[in-house]
Amino acid sequence: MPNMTKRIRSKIARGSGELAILSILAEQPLYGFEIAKQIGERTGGALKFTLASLYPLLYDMEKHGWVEGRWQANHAGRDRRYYRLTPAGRRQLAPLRQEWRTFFQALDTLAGVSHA
Amino acid sequence: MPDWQELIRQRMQPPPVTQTDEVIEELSTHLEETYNDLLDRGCAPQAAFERTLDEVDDWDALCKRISRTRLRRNPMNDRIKRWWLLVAVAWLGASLLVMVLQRPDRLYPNLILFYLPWLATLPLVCAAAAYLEQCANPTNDRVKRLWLSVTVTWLGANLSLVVLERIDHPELVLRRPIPVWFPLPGLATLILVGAAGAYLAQRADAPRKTRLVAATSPALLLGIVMLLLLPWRVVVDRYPWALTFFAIDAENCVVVPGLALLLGALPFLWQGSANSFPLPTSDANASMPSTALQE
Repeated sequence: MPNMTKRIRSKIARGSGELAILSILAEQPLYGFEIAKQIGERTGGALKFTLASLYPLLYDMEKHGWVEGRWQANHAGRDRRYYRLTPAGRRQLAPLRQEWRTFFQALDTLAGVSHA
Repeated sequence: MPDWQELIRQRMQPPPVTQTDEVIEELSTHLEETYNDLLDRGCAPQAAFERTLDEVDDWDALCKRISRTRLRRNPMNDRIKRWWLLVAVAWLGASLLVMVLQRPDRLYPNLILFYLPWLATLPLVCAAAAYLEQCANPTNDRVKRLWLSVTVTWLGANLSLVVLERIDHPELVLRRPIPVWFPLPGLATLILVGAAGAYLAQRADAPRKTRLVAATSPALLLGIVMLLLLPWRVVVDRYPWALTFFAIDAENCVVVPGLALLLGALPFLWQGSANSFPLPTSDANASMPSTALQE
């Protein structure tokens, strides 16, 4: 049972991570540190990405063709790998949002999460 | 300021299997930004350093996860999967057709039409081979470009084989299962084709050996096919002159055209690759216009 719980948590964390990254990249291209920082700030610290959790997920999403990473110099001449949403990623975002909406509605119906 | 790249190199042992330098550079940039951000927020250097290291609690696990995600190739899309099956079936069917129709007692009224389905499958086969190579090494962008050089070489060689032979020796084309490549216009074209293949491979930053294979691939593959068919001709067909004709065909279809292709490729075998000067990945991509990432 603990293993199953761990798997479920892992899937939830992964799914929510994908949604968070896709959502934030839908607004503008960002590099890894900035992605983690903005997600942390905008969720009040509820979602927190570390290096270890962010990059494997980013590389995986890049492999699926949802995001595209490119090295680019910023205004200070510093090279950073910026990620942008691809058309495939944009197409992925809408159903992912819907899945999570349905998931939270189901939890709310079951456990009254939104009023907890 | 800690040397973050060195720190990551020490902790990620063994390093990720692909694009190690790029990964290390990206991760070290992240650690450096985290560290600087903590300093900006008033953290003492030692505390900032320790908190930065908290970004990764298990370096081995991180390394494995990165390697795994980079090795498992994105299947691109479902179209490729479908194409792969289609290509395999088309290639197999066309090859069987060639084997059946190449019986010595058959005559072919129009060799171009006979070869056309086979020729049409060649680019698809090259694309499938490139895709399989891409699966094995997902970050090898050369393959994407290299398949073009192989395809161009193949198509050029085969078109010169069929069309020019037909012009020069229509009677030979009608009678022989594998046309002779000897006539001079055909050979001259093959030299150009070999040069084109080697040049395109060079542009794809391929090493010398790969350039050689790309340029001479038509002759090489034909030689392999002939070698594979030889036991059948000897044992199953019991064709008495099988070895003699094999030697003649090998000379006509493999050795001479191979030399012509090689001759064309030579200038591009002795030069360095088009992009051979060492460039760190980040610098190479830093030249992108700043608007490249804008929607």
